[in-house]
Amino acid sequence: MLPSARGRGRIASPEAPPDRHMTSPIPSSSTGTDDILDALVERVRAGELPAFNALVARFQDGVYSLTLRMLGSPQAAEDATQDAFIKAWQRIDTFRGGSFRSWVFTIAANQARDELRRRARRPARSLDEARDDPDRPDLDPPGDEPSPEDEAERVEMRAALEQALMTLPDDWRELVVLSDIHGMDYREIAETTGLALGTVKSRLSRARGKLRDVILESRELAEAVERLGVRR
Amino acid sequence: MFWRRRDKDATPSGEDLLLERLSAYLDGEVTDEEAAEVESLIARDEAAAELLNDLAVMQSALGALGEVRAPRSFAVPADLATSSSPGSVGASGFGGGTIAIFRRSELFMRASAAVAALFFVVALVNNPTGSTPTASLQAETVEAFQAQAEDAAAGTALESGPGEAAGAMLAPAPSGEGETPAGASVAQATDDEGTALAPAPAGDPNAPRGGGTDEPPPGADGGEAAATTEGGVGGGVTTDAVAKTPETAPPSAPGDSSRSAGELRPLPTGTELVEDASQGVGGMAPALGILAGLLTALSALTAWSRRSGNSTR
Repeated sequence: MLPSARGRGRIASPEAPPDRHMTSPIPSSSTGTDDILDALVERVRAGELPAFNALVARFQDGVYSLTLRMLGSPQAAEDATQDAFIKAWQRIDTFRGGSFRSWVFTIAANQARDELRRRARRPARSLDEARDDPDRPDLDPPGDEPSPEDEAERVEMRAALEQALMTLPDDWRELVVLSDIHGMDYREIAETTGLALGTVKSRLSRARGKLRDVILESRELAEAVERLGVRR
Repeated sequence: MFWRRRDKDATPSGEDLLLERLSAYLDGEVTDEEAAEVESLIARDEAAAELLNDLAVMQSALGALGEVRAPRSFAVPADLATSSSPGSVGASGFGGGTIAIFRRSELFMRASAAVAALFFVVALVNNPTGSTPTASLQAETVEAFQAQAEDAAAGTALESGPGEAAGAMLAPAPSGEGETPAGASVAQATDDEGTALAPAPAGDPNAPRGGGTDEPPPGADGGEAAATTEGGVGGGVTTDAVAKTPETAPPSAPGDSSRSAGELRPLPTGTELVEDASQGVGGMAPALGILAGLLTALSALTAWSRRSGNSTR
């Protein structure tokens, strides 16, 4: 029997209910509401390509991550990401304000959904394969340099969780990625996906329940998830 | 505890409702009243507390996955930006600018190559020999057959027996009977050792043909032999038939392929006359094959061009 995660202090427990800030990371580069961002958007609206490309540099990791996890194929994710930014440039005059990040994520998610529909009959290359590709060493997220042993273990655990994530239906996986990896709230998710708030709420909970079942199918995966969760 | 399964006796709807409430609570998407209800629940229900704990651990682990570093810059290049300035999507009618156009042309070429390849296969099936008969060639062949048939009638040619045929011999269609359809050109005689194209007699049913025998084939009593007519793709016609005897086969107009089996003349044993009148798509097979290859190469070139363009951005 594995040790209880509850005793480690970082895991949610009835005595210390989890809160959004503890469990859901929001990348610092993606807050999307600061003044610099607003100024950039205004310059883009005036037709300044360098300003737009500054926004691209700011959000491309997030957009690529979303499309990669939705599509499961690095090449398809690259295409969808590039097409999304081109569309964003072409349609910048339709941006009504608010979260630029949500807006560009909406375009990217639509691109990925279109691609999923197009290639529904073709098998997707898994994230595992992509990570094992020696020509693509940049698929792991940036971070501090751990020891080789720690890094190997972390890569293995992450790969297992990514694989579990890919077992979810496409639309459910999208919600989990937006919520738990990109840290979007329900309103942002509803904007991005075009779903009603209630639908986001119920569908996300079902997706989490399904993912939990998948994880519980494997003791090793359950261990990996627990350790990953504790390390954060 | 994360690894412990929930009680399976719980009704699905109740579990779904509980899951939804806990999930929303975890995300901070509940009112103060709802939050108080959840906290009260998990205080008295260990299973609910464990489920919430599982969700929290899972959410934390997913957060550890983080964003994946983009493999390259996705900055919009200036040349593409000039052709797709802000707001240009509606005017251009294309959603993806240059990339979309490249992709559409690539898809179009792939589709065209597939259609050409399909026709190529159909053509090969229709005419597996790859022959490309034309009207003039067929006419020349008929004339050659007729000349040889006259020689055969005079007993000056084709002395070898069915089992002795080495190589191939050309045989004219029975010109005196007028039953050869327009385009029918080659009469082919075969035996166990090879293929011989034997001249059919012109007006003389008893003249030796093929191997110089006048024995009818087994089962061909009464002058009956197999005769088939098949329609080819694209209007082409392939006719496999044996020659008719004068006694049982009255003259018919050229091009009449509606002969009955009773009109056919028996052939020597082991001899088969084949009228090959393949026309239509079969003759285009080489051109279609080349077209399919060219379109495939062009499609691959377009894809390579697009990808290399992407990688340089």
